[in-house]
Amino acid sequence: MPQKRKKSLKKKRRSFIFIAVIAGALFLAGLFLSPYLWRKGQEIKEWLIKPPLLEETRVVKLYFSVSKEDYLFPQERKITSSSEVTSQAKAILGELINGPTSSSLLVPTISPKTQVRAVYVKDKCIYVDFFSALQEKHPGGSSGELLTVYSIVNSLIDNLPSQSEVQILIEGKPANTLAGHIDIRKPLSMNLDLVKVSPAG
Amino acid sequence: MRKLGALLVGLSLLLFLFVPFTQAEIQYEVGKVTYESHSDYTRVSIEVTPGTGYVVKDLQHPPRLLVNLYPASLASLSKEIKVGDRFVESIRLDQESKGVVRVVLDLNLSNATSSVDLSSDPSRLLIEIRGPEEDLVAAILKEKDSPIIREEEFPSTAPPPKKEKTIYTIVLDPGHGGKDPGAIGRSTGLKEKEVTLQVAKEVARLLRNEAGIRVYLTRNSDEYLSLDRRTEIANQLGADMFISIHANSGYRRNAKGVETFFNSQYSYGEGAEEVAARENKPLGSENVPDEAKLIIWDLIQNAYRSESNDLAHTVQKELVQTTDGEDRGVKSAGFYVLRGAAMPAILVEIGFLSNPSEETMLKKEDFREKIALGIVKGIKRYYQGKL
Repeated sequence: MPQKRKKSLKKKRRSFIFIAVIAGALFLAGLFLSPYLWRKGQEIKEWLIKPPLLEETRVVKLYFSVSKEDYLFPQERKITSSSEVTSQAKAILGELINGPTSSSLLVPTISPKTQVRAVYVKDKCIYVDFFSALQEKHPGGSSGELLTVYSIVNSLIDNLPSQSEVQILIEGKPANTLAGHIDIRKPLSMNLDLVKVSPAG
Repeated sequence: MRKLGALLVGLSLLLFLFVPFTQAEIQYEVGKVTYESHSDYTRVSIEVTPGTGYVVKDLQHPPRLLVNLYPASLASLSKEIKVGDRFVESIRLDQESKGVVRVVLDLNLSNATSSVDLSSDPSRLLIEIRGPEEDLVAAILKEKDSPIIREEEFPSTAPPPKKEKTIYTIVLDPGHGGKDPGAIGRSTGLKEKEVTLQVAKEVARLLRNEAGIRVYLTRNSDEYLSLDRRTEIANQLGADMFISIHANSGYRRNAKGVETFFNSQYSYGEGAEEVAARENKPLGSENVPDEAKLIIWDLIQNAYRSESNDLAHTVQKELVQTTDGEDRGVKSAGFYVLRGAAMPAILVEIGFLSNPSEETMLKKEDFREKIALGIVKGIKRYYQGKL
């Protein structure tokens, strides 16, 4: 009997140590994780207060070149993004880089190898920061360059009327031109003189 | 005991899982700000996280240089560094908005020039402030190996033109050059910089014997020339006409024909004229602030807008007729190279290097001669109407 008791006591003590070690480990883990958990908590709180940005689908007008590459012509396309201006701008630029649908006679205005680095908005101006491929993969020529610049500006401002200007940046820096012709040092507004009413020719 | 071990291993695994999460967010921080004062410039260096971008703005009254960094955050709320040298009075940094740090350099010179550049190893933003730019053109004109070719220097057996009449000065600008080849032909690899120089030289040759005309080229060989310098040369020479010659290119092979451009109107809104008028000083004057100078140049150019329009239409019409090329018409747009010109200025696109058949034609001397002749006819018709 006392033997058995001793045994059960030993067992109890062992399980006590066991629980204590677990509690200690959890306490330490908690200490380690507390900054992370606190931040996560803040995020969740923010998320609860501000409803999540819902992805919505809308139809936008993208400006591509007509086959003679002397004017722009709009083509409608669906984009899915949050309602934030920067998120919509990124979606519009992504589709512009994808180019016109193959069934149309329209011609792309940006090399498919081009990527957007960042988009930010300030004082009604959308700053679009491209990787240098926009310059390096450009075929050159005034006509091609003029249409590249205004396909970007027109596609953004026409679909995001809360903004009025676009400045193109290359690798985080302002640039003089894309290929030696059109001045892009300052923000540009929409140019409707370059938009054709019919896609023919 | 084995259970305990497993538990500890599990817990530490859990910790490892979380640790990378806490480190994944990149903090775009603005680090140390230092400056060096030199006799002819001041350099400000700002440590930034790689990937930080920037936008620059020149401000006047008082003269300041504004640089917005993004994405970026500042450890402290704001920071001010007193410099007090010839160029820079102080450097101020503050968190403009979430993700944007504003850097303001208070300048001691209203006509200072600045350059802003990102540099790596270590990643930092370098801002250099210098005195007003030297008169580049005056320096060029003094130099013997000047890129400007006077018409008399062309090999010629003809007697030099008589100069008793009013001299009409034409500056021809062969597009691109040197490290900048311009557009490149898709079938034979013909470079734009070569064609534009050949055509410009031919135009100069054809105009050489015309009485009362003096022709200059901005470059006479395969050399690189900045866009600013091209119009600077024309302004310094007091040219009556500036013609930039280019070859076109598109994304596909179909585009073809000739097209002429002139500069679009720069609008600064109401008050721009007032700013310019307030500065009512000659353009060469060093006391005019840069921003006002730009506005004045643009207003002068706006004044030449209708003449540039006329010149563009005249040259385009003659060029289409002489070469029998496809007429793409005349357009106006914001061309960098035409912006600073204080005279009627146009940019002619003589054909598409992206179109294989036009590229083949542009390789032929007799076709280039036809183009040059078309341009010359346009120039003559335009200036004869002016005399």
